[in-house]
Amino acid sequence: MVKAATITLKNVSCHYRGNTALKNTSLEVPPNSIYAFIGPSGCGKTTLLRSINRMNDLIPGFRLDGSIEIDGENIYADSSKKYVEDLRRRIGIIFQQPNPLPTSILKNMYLPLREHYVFDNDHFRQKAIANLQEAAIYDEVKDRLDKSALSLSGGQRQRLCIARAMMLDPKIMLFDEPCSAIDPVATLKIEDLLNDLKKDRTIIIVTHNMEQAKRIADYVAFFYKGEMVEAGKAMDIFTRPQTEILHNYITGRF
Amino acid sequence: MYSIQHRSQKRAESLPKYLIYLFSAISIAVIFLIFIFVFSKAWPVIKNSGLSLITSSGFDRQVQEGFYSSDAEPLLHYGLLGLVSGTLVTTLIALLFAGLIGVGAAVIICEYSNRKISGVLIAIVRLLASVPSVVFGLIGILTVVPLIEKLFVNTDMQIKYLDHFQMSGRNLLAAAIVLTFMIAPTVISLTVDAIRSVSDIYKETGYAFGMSKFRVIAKIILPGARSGILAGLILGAGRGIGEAIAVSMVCGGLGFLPIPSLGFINFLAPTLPLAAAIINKSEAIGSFSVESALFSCGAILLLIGAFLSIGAKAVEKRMRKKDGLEN
Repeated sequence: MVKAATITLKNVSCHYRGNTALKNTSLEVPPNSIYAFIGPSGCGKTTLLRSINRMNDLIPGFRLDGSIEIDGENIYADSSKKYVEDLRRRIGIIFQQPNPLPTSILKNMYLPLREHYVFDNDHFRQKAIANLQEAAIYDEVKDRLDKSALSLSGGQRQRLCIARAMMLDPKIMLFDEPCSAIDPVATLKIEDLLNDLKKDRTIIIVTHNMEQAKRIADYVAFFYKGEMVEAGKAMDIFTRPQTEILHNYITGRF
Repeated sequence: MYSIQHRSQKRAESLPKYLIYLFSAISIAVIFLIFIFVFSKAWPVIKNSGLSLITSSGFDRQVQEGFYSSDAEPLLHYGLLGLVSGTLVTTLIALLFAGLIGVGAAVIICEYSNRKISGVLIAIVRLLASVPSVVFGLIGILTVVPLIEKLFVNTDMQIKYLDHFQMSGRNLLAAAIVLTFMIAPTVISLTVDAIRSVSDIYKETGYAFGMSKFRVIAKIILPGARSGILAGLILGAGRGIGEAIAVSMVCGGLGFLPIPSLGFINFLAPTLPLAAAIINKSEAIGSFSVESALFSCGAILLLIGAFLSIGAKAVEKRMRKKDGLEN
């Protein structure tokens, strides 16, 4: 086990062109854990997730107050292009919609590496295969690495994207509802994978699926209408909710 | 009751279907008829000249002799190599320029300008695409030709190359430049559409790996827009080889076959692409010989066009295969 990164959020507020999506949120994500953000749609959890690798910077009019620290380094202190690009490459992100590019599986795997390293076929291939194995998809695709990634099923595509995101050895991986577009069996495979991944990485997952959060999360934060209502160990959140809103949410009365 | 309604409904649906079939059949038939008509008119010259029709030159002289030859004993031996090379060279140069300008402009419109500016730019581009070609030719005569004369042509050079041709501002370069501006709007509009159809989730993929905007454009957006760009280039090439009026106004009207040893000077030589030749010599079409010769120009144009679209399909298929999108 490698010690991964600690993420600390201090008084984070997110605004889109005068619209406040998230107010005054503070929490700490311990290393090598799975932290789940839960809550109804529009509560600000995806905004927060995408703020951690500064993807929201791409949206005109986005502004973040407060600070987000990775191992004590405030990632909003420097807004130069170079810093932000470098930050994104250190953090993997998996989107709701599996997004392999319309090219071969192997070329998809090479994409992140090609961007930052000189092409070396043997080394790239080895690394791609190692990551596909770690993402538990290698056996399913080993005979068609040169075939289109679009020939894969939804669940396979998502695991391919996870494998691809690991190509740059991120210490932090963000998952934005990774299972909402795929079937239950594929979902369980990805959950197993997340449990493996946390051995060397810190993981944050946004999910709508309460059962999923119960199954895999070590910590949970509950968001409602742009505010963090409760956060803590998963066990405590699910068994002893402190607020009525959270109680209603986890019992499905919403 | 139910079945009657069902049947009449079926009839109502099948009428448009058959109409569509009918119109498709008519357009296919028209294409075949065009080929048959052009080739039958061109046949006397094609049969007489054989392969030397496209492997030898001398059209400029032959067309004069042909005009004065009697219809009882028409001159049917022509060499169109100078014209074919004129068509291919002007089109290729124009395609190269228009490709660079077109893709660059499309990237600026889609990725580097705000909604208002890009809307205005696209409106201008669409307008440019609908300007009649004779206007492009006129602008070419009034601006491009004098400019080339001023920049490249002087009396010493005119004397030096008098053995080969009469040097003026009306030459291959002028034809290629005018064509460039005619092709570029097509390439721009199709590339803009193609770039816009590249899904945002693909762009996010790139940004998520720490790519800069430029890299996302080069590595994700443009490859994703590839088939649209290719379609723009094919349409552009089609317009390039078929363009007659504008090119005939600035090309110099002489089917000069480039001489490799002259190097860059070849660009300052007059040229006469196939389509421009048809325009240029159409006054002489009363003569049987010239008529058949001009139709053979048309036949070659049809063949170049057909090869072009087949070739482009093959290129795209090959690229898709390389990406594993096709077996």
